[in-house]
Amino acid sequence: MTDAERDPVLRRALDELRKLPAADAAAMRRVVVAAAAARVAPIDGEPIMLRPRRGRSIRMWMVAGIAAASAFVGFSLRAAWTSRVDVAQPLASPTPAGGARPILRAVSAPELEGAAIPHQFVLENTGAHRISIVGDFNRWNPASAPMRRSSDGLWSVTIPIVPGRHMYAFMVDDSLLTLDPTAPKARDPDLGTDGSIIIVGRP
Amino acid sequence: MTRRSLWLLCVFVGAHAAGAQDSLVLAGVGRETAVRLAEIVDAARSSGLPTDPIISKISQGVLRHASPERIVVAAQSVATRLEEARAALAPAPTPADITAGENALGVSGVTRAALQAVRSTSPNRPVAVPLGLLAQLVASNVPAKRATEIVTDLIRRGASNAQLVALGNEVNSDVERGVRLIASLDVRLQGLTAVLAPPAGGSAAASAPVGLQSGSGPKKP
Repeated sequence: MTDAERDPVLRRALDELRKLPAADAAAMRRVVVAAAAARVAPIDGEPIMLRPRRGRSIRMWMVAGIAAASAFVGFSLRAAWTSRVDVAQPLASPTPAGGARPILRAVSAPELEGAAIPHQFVLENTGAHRISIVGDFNRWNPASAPMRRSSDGLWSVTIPIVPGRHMYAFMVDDSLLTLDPTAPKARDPDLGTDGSIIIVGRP
Repeated sequence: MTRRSLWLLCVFVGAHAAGAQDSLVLAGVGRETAVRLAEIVDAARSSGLPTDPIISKISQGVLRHASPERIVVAAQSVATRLEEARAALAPAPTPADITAGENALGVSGVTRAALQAVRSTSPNRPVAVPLGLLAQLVASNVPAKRATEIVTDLIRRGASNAQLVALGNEVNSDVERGVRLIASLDVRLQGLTAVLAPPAGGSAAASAPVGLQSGSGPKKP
């Protein structure tokens, strides 16, 4: 026993100090309400469980794997497609005997002369809803080169065209073929119809 | 025929003959026509000819609502001209050259001999643009022989493709404005040859631009 516990005055004082203060009921209610609001409510009564990080990591790896596989398939398809296009291209360089495709290759003057050249076609038409250009250069496919309308009724499109003489026309509203008023016209020898003529050459 | 069916037609004709037949039927040209068109395209491909001009002609025919029979005849005509052009532009024409040759042969008056003349003048370079100018001059009623002389003369003088194209466009513009074709040709050729070198190994007479030999040009000393 300590000296303080032996002294009756000090013992009474210590006993008084050891007593807990009375709990404030209002304060307790505020704490309980605040804790309930902060808690995440379980869905359909299921208990809340913290998922281990390992599961999330597995999902990330799966996503990364799928992405890598997709990239591989994409590049493979692209390579196959490119090789097909090269075969069809008249000016493509032949593949070396070893089968390896050169990354860079020399472009000779004749090849450059044969490369497609961007050309802009313009037509003024304020009443049309849709205009596209059709011609030898796009297999007369109306979906190939739709023209864009400016605010003042000028329709235009710029497309690459291989050097040479080409016949073409404008398709207005998917039905009417009209000639280019700014270009010379010629008669198609086989179909007996008129078309506009353009000669394209590299500057 | 809708745009979609037209495009289906062209895509599948260009893809495979067998597949093309079905697609052509779907496109509404009839089974018999489809078979014949597919055969034409397939034969051209088998013999190493470019098939784009044939497919373009078929597509154009459908777009212009030509009769199936006319489309077949047109496609066959293109195939025949492609063969002729390849022979005329031998020994190693590019597909672009063959296509340009076919286009030129389609203009009434342009002959195989004219193509050979252009090729022999420019044996190692693409001739799509010179043949395009030749075709356009003849289509504009310049006699084929004279048009051939003009084009080969300009090639010998080293005219660039851009200069050939510009000549054709300027003459066309002049004619659209009402200028006589021959007069326009004379003036434009005079302007062009003034900036070009005389033809290699040419005599004084040969150095005169071909277009001025109509008699309307300046007198030679």
